[in-house]
Amino acid sequence: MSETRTCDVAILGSGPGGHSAAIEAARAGARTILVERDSRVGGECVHRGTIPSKTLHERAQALLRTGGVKAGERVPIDALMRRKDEVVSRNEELVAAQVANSGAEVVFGHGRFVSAHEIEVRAPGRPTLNIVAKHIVIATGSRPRKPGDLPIDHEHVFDSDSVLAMTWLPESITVFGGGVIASEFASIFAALGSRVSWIDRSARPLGFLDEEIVETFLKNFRAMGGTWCGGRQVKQVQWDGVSRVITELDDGTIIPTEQALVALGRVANVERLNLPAAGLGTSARGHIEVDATLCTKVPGIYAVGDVIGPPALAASSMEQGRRAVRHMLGLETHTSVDATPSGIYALPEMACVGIDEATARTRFGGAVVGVANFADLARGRINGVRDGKLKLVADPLGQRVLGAQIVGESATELIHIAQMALIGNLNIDAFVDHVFNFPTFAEAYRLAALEIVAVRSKSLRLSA
Amino acid sequence: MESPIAKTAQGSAPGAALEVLLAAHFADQALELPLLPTYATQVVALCSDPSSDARALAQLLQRDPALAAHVLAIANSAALGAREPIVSLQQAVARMGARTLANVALSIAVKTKVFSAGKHLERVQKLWKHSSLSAAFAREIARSRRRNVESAFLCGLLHEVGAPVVLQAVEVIQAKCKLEFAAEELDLAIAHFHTEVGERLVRSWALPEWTHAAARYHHAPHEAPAFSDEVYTTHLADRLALNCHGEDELAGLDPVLSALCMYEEDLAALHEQSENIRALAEVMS
Repeated sequence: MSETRTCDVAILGSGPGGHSAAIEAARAGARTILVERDSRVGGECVHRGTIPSKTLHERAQALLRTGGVKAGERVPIDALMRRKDEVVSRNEELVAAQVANSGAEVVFGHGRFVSAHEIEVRAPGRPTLNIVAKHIVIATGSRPRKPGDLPIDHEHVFDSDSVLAMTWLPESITVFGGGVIASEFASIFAALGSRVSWIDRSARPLGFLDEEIVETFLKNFRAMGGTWCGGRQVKQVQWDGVSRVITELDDGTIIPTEQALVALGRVANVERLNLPAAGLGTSARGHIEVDATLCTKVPGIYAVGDVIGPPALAASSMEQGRRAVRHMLGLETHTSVDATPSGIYALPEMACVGIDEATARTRFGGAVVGVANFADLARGRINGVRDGKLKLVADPLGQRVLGAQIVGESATELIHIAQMALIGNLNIDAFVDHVFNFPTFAEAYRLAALEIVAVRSKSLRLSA
Repeated sequence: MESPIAKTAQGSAPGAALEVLLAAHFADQALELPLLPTYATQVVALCSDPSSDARALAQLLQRDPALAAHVLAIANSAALGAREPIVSLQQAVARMGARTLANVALSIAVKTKVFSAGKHLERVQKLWKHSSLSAAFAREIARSRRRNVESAFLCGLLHEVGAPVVLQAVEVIQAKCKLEFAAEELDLAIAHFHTEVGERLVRSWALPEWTHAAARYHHAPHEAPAFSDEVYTTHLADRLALNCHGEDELAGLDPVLSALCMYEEDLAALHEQSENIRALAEVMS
């Protein structure tokens, strides 16, 4: 038994990209159906990604603000997890309400292509629903990658999804991976009092970030008792059958910990979509390829979010969902400046926008850089911040803002000031000529800009 | 001397009599969870042998619901000075260490009443095997859904923990009141009391909250006021374990799959693993 319905826009997946697309389409007057495989809307972002991990980050940060975990003290993980569940639940309600208010319809079930314009939706105990749509958006997100050589069993060795369901805090944990998710969890566990051994093949984590910023982060990580094992190969990982996950490195080092977490990237959720029926395939990296308008090679089918690969950020996915819909419906889409910030919700936080010092030197043959340490800020002293810095990168003349990198409290918020400076093509002097609130962390921009202005003035004097 | 309750009960139908007697028994008696004699013997043997592997004791803990429940209760007691709630067997082993675990297990084996309902021993052994298999299925269900494997396993292992308590109580009543009950009456008594008694036991022993819900609602997961995911997982695991023995045809599973956000292919994947899961559970027991 089956039912067939028609609509203007059908969207597969209700994560940030999907629900944003659904809201945009429905608000534009298109008959919109949002198909969600899970029994709740919100996708990985709400249930097992951004929202829950950031909630844990906030709780861990609150602990650090009050002096951190004392020796012998145990953090009540159940309270942390309850708080996380409450936040997740509220966010799910929020997304559901936003979608409902927009007029989009939500259908729960597994959607797969029957043809380029038809999706079949199946759910246990319900008749199959066929949706015929003029336009289809694929926004099915991603899941943690499961490397063949690491025995992820979600019991002793977790991935970044299952770790969020843990019911007790390990005294020790090994974290594999050198990217954003690994950095976040390694530092959160360290802040919660676990002894963290953090292993990756790269010599330093977060290779895309400014070295000085990463060094400050690592210094803080070590101060919390964490151990960074960079440039190491894992030979073997196994559960000892009693109480330890034993990790053996290529140099013979043995690291026994109560649990382990594997955070080595994510893979797109595309296998169950029956893409060939729509005339679609995937790239060598398993992503769906799209053009600048987010349209796939099949007219009328768009893809957004993690399924199309980097940057795979919740904020980017939302914007992609919105843009894809506006393009398909022939609505105006403004060209945006390429100034999307990256935020890493580790402890301390890190964020960047634009280009860093090394890139500027390569691209422009030089750069003028101003650095402000949070310890020099009145707000930093009030908040008891020991470490934290902001790097402001200007062109070789010390005039134009090219980028900013921040490590420290509120970095993920502070970065938007630099983002606006980039979008507005502001001069460095804007940070000096205008008054900031005092005391604030934003004052760091002014201090960094003053340093750039001083270098610039000195250069001018020398050249004169 | 016969108790007034026993006299009252003698005037009723046998089924009702047993129900009344059990209700009275559970109302004023602390709940006892006896150990199976075979497991108690194994614990003593393992813990008394200095050359025995800690893994063997950890494995025994994972297949004996009574031993697991006793160990968790002691791990959470003030006596061991736990600095955090102990909510899983792995956590208990990690926090106690192999030596303390062996001492605790030995103490449990020596001090805890051994199941004395000789006539029902086979039945309890079957129940324990079923619990062990349910736990193995619950573990795989949680693993496939990337949920907490340990809590699912524990719920599967302890979900029938009320049944032997009921059988033990029946044995006490039979001896005390000189009554005999038919097998059908026992079935009815277990069906009627085991969820409530199981919940009361794990709650009074301060075992993790999700085990309370699983013990109480595993036959009616839609009624669970909390820990719905754990309860539905236990329900499905229970039924898959029964299915292995040809005792459940898995009819009417759609609402369960819906609640767990599982699809036919997910169930089929579990079915494919059934034989392995069963074989592993049997090897372990």
